[in-house]
Amino acid sequence: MFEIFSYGDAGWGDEILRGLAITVQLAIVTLPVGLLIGFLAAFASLSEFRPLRALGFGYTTVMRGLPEILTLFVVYNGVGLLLNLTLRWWKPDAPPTDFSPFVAGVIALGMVFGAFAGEVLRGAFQSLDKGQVEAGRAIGMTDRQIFLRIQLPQLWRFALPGLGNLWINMLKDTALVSVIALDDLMRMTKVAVGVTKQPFTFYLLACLIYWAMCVLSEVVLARMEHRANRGIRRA
Amino acid sequence: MTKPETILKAEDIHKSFGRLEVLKGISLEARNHDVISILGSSGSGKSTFLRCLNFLEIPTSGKVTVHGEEILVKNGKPQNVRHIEDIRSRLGMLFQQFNLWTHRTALENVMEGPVQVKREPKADARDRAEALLKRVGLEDRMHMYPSQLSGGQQQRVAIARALAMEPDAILFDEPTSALDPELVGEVLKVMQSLAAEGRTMIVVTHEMGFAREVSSEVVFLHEGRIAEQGPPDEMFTHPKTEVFERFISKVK
Repeated sequence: MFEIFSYGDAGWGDEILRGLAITVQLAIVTLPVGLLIGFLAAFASLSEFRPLRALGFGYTTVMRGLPEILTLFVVYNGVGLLLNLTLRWWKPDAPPTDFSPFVAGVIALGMVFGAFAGEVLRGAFQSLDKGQVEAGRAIGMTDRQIFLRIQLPQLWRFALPGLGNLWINMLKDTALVSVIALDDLMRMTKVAVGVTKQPFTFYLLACLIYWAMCVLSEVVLARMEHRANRGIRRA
Repeated sequence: MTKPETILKAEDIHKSFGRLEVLKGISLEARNHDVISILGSSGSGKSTFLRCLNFLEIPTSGKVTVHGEEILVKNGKPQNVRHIEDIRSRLGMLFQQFNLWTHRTALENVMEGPVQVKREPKADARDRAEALLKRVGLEDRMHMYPSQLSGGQQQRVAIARALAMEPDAILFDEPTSALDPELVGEVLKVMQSLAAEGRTMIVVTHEMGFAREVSSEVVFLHEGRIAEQGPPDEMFTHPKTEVFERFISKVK
């Protein structure tokens, strides 16, 4: 009965694994993009320059207000369209190109992650003790040194629980890219179900795999939190 | 005998928060080996003045000179911003709440300035940091985090951290006010030894004993101005102003 999971032509094992690889790649590539957007959004909303602040808050409100799948469609179709328009303007006789669903997934998921991460990071910045920064100033550190040596290491303590949640959400949201024809775990599962007519088996397998990834993430996050809290007395 | 050299000079420092003028023109000169105690009731502007000396607070106007570096401030804008970090690295500062970096051990706290700001080799910085922590009596606490230390121990680490920068002068912002009474002594003792070895110090404090016995000069601030200034013995025995007389009778 395990034949359908086997590797090769007879089973679906290799297809599912390939799907899993895409899902993991997507999540891992999205993370730094999302964090970068998150930091930019946090800096913008903490800025003393009012238009920048408005931009930061505006971005957050819009992104939080859209269903993820809609963001994905807008990015996939919109950016694809834009890409082809620019291409035609630059080189009128070029054939239309396809916008990679993987890149669309990274951009869309990164934008969503970034909007929420921006709020988490803004909160974390505001929780930092001002005295820590003053001590850095008083000793003659530059703003850059203060950010890298004092604020950033202390930020994780406040930001990690929130960012951990966002990571797990994003890991599961990667399943959305199956609707724009990226062969991720979700889509390969659906294909397998369609061919074998064994929905229960393959959906259960997908459930177990997603859940295993979440558990693994939780273990890693717990370790990171432990490290971020070094030197802090636990209540 | 040569005249002692001027280490730090503040001229006509004004500071306003919105409409409230907290400092109304304060000038102060610290020469080498001076230990100046700044006294005053809360709201007199003493902490604000101290924080203006290393630009943690930007004065509204005035001039601060440290080690020949001169910063003139007009309309709340320092005229040569680039020198602010230089000035800060030449002045040590102690805070009421110690402000040790919580994510670094005692030793790392002391090494941070020399390594990051002065670009000293790590090994040298470590040797000196160890010696300094030994000097403040914490050789067996070097690898502990601030949260594992008592308030008095934290403040002594903070003193070592300031000394590691080999500052021209050290500013103390109520260094013992946040301490339990039984821990005040150990910090005052270290401060006293610094004074004895000729460090230039400016100390905002409520410790009358320290002001009277250790400092070479006392400055009494009242409502943003210097109300009285002079050698401690003379000031405490013959206060010239009524406000200072009332102040010392209240704190006694």
